[in-house]
Amino acid sequence: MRLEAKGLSVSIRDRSLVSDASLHIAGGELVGLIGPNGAGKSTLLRALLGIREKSAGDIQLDGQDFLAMSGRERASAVAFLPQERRVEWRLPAYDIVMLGRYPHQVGFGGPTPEDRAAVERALDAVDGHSLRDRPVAVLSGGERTRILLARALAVESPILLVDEPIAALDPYHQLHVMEILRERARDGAGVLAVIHDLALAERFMDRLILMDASRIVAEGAPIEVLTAERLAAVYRIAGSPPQRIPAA
Amino acid sequence: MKPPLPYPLLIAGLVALVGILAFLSMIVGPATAGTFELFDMMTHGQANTAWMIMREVRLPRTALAMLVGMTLGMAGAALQGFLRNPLADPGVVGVSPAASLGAVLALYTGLSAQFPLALPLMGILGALMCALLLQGLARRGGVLTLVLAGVAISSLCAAAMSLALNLSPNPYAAAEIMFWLMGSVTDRSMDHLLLAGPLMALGWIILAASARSLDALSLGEEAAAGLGVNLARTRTLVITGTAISVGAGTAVTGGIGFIGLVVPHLLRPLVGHTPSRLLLASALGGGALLLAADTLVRILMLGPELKLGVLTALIGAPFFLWLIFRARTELES
Amino acid sequence: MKYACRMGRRSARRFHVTAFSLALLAISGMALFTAAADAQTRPQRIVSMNLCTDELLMRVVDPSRIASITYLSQQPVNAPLGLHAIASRLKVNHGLAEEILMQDPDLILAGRFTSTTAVSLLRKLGYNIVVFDPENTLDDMRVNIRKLGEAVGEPARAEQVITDFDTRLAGLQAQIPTGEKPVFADIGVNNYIAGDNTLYTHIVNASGYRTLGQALGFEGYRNVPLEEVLSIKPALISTATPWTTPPSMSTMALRHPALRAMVENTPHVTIPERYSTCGAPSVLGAVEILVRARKASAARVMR
Repeated sequence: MRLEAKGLSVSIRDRSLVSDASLHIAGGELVGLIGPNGAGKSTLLRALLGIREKSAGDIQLDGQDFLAMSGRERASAVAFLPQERRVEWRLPAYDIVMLGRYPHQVGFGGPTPEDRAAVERALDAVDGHSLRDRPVAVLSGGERTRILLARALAVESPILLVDEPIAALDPYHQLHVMEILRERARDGAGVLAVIHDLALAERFMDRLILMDASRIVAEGAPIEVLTAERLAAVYRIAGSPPQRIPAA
Repeated sequence: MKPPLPYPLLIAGLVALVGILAFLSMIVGPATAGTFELFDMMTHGQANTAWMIMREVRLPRTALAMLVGMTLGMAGAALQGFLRNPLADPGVVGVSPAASLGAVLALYTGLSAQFPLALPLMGILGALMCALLLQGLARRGGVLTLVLAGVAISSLCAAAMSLALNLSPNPYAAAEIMFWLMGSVTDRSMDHLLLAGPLMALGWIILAASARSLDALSLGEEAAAGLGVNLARTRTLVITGTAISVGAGTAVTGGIGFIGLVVPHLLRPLVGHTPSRLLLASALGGGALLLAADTLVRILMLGPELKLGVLTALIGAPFFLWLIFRARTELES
Repeated sequence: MKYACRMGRRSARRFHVTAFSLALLAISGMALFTAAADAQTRPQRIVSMNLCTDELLMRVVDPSRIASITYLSQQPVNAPLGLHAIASRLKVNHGLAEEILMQDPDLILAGRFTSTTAVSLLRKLGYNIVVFDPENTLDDMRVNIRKLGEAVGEPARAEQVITDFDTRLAGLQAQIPTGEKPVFADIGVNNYIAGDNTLYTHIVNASGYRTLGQALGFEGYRNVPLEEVLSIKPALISTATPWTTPPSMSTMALRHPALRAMVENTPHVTIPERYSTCGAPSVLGAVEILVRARKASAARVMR
């Protein structure tokens, strides 16, 4: 499965949030979307999903117009984990993960055996079985992220878009989450994650897309993208490109 | 954290509760026309009158109390699920004040004196206009816009009703408006039931259609959109369903509050906090609560009639304070 | 032939007698029948759902034909003038359809604004309901009494009530000293000050005074700010009624320093609210109090 955007632009009034972005994501790869704050990464992600209105460009899933597909078809093909970590009601973790099956459920029937199996697999992937009966509201940051990630994994969609999965996590959980995403990509999904930590990006991602001021300015393997000049120009930091971090 | 009861058992229990309370409501009457008096009539050759009382006075009253209670409970649960806020209530979106304003205008202009059904009809009209206004205002905005629009509409309707009271031609007309606003199901006829009943049922069906989206909305609007929830459609369903059902109910009974606020709050832990399941549970809980309150109104017969809306407020508000007091640590998390 | 004639004359006389007595019997029978029929068609179980129709009903109809009056009429503060004995022995209703249905009425009297839901339900169920508009003038009262008399089948008694009222009123009015009508200010309950075209004002006018509202020149009921009250110097004020014993916002106004001087230096009366609530013979109670006050003030002036 391949999700491709060509010439994607998003603007409100006269301000351009995303200008003429073209990118693709295909099964089996873990792609990082990086760039400074305000570059337009989250907006681009939302435009890809169709939850933010685009002003130009088209988006295709395996050659078909993605936005013309029904909400259910889109949600089954592309799962989304937003930055928002707040869950309103005191729902137990299991029920939260089960919500990931929403695109596959029709009518008023309860969860099917297939749904339950998918939830088990998702909980396996994030090592969340011990949390299943606890209300999400009382979980710690790391635990909550894992459960919400499990929710996104439970969709079992070929493409997964993730917005800042490791924000506010301690190093252990950061690595854990990145490993889960990489595992997912190995299993055949195409995963696109917005990420700030350049070291982790360089270490885990197969490909990086660098955005700056609403444009995509570079794309390619981490070594190619994260050059000293780019870092200086885009991030306005001086320094050497990230070194390989020793394995934990 | 599993809920204490399996869901089907909870629903069965609530249905049984509603049944028992409806039965009680049918046999309880005001002090001079109570259970014994009625039984006495039946056994002493006045059976016709006794049956007429049951059929034309108590049956519509019981049915309306049940249906309006169900409407308020269900709409409250739907709004709390949609706005993702446990403090939401059908009044928040301005539908009840708008329906009340329509009815007050019917009273004020004397239209209801000519055609008694003009009162509920104008109430329904008020609710529908509110729904149209809400849809228009909330189209481009999110939840916050909707709530603010509801507050604005509520304020406008309250001001207009105060104006009607202010300019009222005589003290009797003003008193009539005031008493209607306090809410009551006393002496409503089958006409009221046949007018409001189908509309309330229609509203329930529309609200029920939004049930599963409300579950997905627990994760927030973006995650829900990512799961395929059509936010605009959900908003339309919730607003329209609330407007039609609560509007029809308020148009017939006047202002009855706190049911839509307290019942979902009470039942939420029992349905495992799942918004979709809360809809049916709150409907049944609301019906039970309003039946109980209306029966209490008749048992506690003070000189002037104790208004149903006053009783629900007197019980509901302190109870709600107690709920918040008990759960204040949870609300902060 | 002669025999036959003689016989014929006697039997003719007998025939005449018989015919005459038969006719008499028939006529009186018819009269009796009509009277009985009248008595049958006149309502026998009348229910009144309104405080004012309670009073009119009790004055026009025999208590045996009253099925119930409102519970309000049995409260001392609400009892109509002189009818407490009758009212206390009648059954009551609270304006609820169920109660009234159980009383099996054949005629129901209601006010325009009272218990409208109960009234429409009862009407829908086929009961005979007569609705009375609230009275604005003493003529409205006479109209309503006549209307009630018609409805209950006692037109003559209704006329008698009106005549009694008019006689008594005329008697009171004859005692009113001549001269311009001074101003009477009822500021005991300042929520509604009555102006022109209200029942209250008509009562006060009939008693030899003008109301505060008339002096200020408005119609209907209004809230009147303190300055306007002070700008008129009333000759008589009323500051308390049995309904103002638990203090309300209105009675608080009387403690206002600006009003205090006026309150202390002007003659007072107390008029029970009930005398002006309904356009009914009870208004004579108010008239009496006011006329007495008017005479007293005239006496003071003459001294």
